[in-house]
Amino acid sequence: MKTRKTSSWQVFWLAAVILVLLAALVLGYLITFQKSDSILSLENSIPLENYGPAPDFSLTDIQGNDVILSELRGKVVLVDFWGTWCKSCCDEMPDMDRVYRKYKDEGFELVAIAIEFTRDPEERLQKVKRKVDELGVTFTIVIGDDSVVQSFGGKLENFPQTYLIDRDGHVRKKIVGARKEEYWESLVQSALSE
Amino acid sequence: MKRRLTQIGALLITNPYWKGFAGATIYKGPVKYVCHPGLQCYSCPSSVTSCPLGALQNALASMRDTLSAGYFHIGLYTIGFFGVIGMVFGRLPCGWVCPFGLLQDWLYKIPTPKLRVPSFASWGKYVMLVILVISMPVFGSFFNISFTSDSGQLRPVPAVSVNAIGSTYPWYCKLVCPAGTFQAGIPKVLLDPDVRDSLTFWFRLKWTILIVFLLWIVLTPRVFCRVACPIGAIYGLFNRFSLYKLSVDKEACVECDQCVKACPMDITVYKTPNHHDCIRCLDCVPACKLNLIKKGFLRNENPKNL
Repeated sequence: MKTRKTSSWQVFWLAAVILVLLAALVLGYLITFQKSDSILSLENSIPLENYGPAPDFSLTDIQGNDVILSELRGKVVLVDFWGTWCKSCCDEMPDMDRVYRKYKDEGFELVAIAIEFTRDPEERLQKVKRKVDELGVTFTIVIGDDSVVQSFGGKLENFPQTYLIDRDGHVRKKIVGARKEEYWESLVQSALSE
Repeated sequence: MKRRLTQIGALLITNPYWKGFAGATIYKGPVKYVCHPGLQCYSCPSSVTSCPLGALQNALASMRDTLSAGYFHIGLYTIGFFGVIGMVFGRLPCGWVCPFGLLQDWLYKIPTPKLRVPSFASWGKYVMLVILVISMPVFGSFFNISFTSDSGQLRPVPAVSVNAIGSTYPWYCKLVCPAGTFQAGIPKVLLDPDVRDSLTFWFRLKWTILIVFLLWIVLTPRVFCRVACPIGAIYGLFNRFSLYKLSVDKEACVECDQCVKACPMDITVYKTPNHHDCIRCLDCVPACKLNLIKKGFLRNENPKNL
């Protein structure tokens, strides 16, 4: 009698655990591909939002020139936070560069802000320069710090993160994670055609 | 009981950053430069310490970049950390402070029919260590899988040793680590809607691996430690040489197998008291009716043979 009781408890527990975990599995799959269309589909225009005026920054690029965001007013700007340590960031930069070269004459600017863990400024600069050479990208690369990410309301562990700023200097889209060339192209087109 | 309190204590001490959960963010202050001896993800919202395995992989993955920038930064701090903990304690942290170990101890308490795994499965963690933790981060991607946008399918591209872009991923974290999925991935995805758009095939893979391990943990004691934990694999290499050791009086032993029954790692304690799988939970010590298993620092494995 006693054994029988134990065994039915065991079956109950096993069934409960398996059910809960299988439910979690299904839930995880649903969450994972809930919005994957926005990454994968080739839709022509991407709906923009308005998050208000972009915070200004003044940073130095890897050639030593000052880059001030407010001086780019009148252009559509993508501000991309990346790092040499972040492979997803580096992977999407050649895609972004193709879009940049295609639209730079139509009033589009791309500023990629490198956020590095390396504290020594010279070592940091060398690392970033080398990575940029390797990637062969032509847009503006500046070196930033955590406070710039936070001024955009971004979280320090969400890399890459990219902000679309319209001609009036308003943040119109926040993108966390890497995207493909098609996505960047339709995003830039949406902002330029406004 | 003493062990359970130590495990819970370690969990509480290394996870005081509760507001990480509120803001879906992580602690990045000075304490983060310290590694947890166990498998506790750097990206867990409440964690104030780093995972030594993640640190090791990141050091190895960025080595090419750092060296080519002219700096000799090859992760000596992390390697030294493993060396010091290993030489002093061996796998003791697995049994006493690892939070994922605690989860396994608790899940195993669910009364279900139990399952044993064959002993060769223990080598799985060394396969993980050599391939995912060392080789792939050091030599770049052996295979370069990209999730293409046009067809939406996986496209494996064979590459010899390094891909076009120098740095690589911490591959164990990216492909396998169920502790990372449990401690960091799931809280992040649930709490931060911004990242949900960027989830791809990898998250689905890791979610599946986590579920498989959670089920398996209920059936087999400490099975993740046995078959898949590279931290355990590294510490395990030190078990025979560490200052802290177990010893058995083999002459007095009657091989009643009570210690084997108590051992979550299926070790024949009286034959190999410092087996590389031993997590030093010390459950075998009180299990020995003749009180022949001794523990402590600077002990010979078999004192009578000295």
